[in-house]
Amino acid sequence: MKKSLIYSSFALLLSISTAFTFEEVKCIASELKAELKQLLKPEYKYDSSQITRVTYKKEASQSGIEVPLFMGEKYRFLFNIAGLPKDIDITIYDKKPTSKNKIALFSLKDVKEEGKHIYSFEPVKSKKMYIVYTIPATEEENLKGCVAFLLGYKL
Amino acid sequence: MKINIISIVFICFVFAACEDSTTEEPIENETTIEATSDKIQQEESLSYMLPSPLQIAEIFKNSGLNFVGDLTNPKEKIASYNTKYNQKLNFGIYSADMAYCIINNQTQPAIDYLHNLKQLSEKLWMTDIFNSMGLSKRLESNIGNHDSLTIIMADLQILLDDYLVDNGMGYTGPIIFAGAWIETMYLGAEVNKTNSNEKLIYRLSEQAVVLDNLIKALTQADEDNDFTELITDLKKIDAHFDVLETNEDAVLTESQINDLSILIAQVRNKIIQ
Repeated sequence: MKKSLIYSSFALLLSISTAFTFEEVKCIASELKAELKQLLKPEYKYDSSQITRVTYKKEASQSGIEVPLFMGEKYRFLFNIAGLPKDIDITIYDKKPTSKNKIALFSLKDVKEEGKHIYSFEPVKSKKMYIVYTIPATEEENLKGCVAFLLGYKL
Repeated sequence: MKINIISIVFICFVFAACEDSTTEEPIENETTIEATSDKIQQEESLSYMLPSPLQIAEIFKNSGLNFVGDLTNPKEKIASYNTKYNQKLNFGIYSADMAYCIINNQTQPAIDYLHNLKQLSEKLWMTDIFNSMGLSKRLESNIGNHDSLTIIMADLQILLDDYLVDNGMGYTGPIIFAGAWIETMYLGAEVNKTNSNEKLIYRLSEQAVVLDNLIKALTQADEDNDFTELITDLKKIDAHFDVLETNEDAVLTESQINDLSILIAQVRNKIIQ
């Protein structure tokens, strides 16, 4: 009886921890990028990609990516946010994030749709651009995820 | 009853173990958000994208980069690259040479360079890139088909990027790109000597933005100070672009391009020797 009680308690503990594990959002880089690659076809070719792993903290945080583009060429920015347990904002600026004169060319919050996890942006003018990820504050412990960015070009 | 409880425990273990292996995968060139401020104030919170060497080669090609024989690094030189550092840099050099051959319909040399890349990938433990998708066979069966070869080259870039991320080798990407960038610039500057035109000079000048990102990416990846000499060399090249800083649409003059090409050739020769 005593052993049964120990086994039951152990099983219950494991079930709880397993349930929490199941709630984690999957973050498999190659799968997230594979979905984006399909959206390059037929006109765009793969240029480069970046996986950004996000840790949500008690204070809001930001990180960014500098993306060099060549004048006069066409580009497609693709984001896959399926690996995020909680929304973040994605903004693309024409100048450094620290610049007072920067202009936001794209903001995820303006185009976000329920249930949609892939978003694209095609700049009108090609020059160096800056992607900024804004991670909201959270009280939840160990909340993590990732966002995939993939760039395509058309000459 | 006891058996049933043990079974539940076992199943829980199995699920937990399986879940653990699929939700997390090692990513070393990831950008981890650690900053606690709500503004990006420091360069450390930025990461730096590098374009595909194929894109640069195609842009140069559209601006007059024609094929000149004997400019590329001889394939036989592969035997002299014995350190991991040299192998990575020359993986980039040969990638650029392959792209140059493909965009100029030089398919046999392109295949030769692909074989070199395969050999270097074996030395660098990146064999899976070439084994998956049967790239060698695809290349050989598409001899003369420029568009197919370009797609194959683009696929190779995807596989390389994925492989480096999946195997925690993100720091290798900027080194390989450094080799590819130096070689593409060398080819562009050399061709410009015999076939100079405004478009090509503009495109060579425009590479300042890529070099800026390359130096920053290498510096971030250089935790053990292995790339210090290369970074110093690249900064010397970067200094030649300083004249453009006042105007983003400015281009280098003919003499500035000549000075740049001398320095590029010096750095390139140091890498391929």
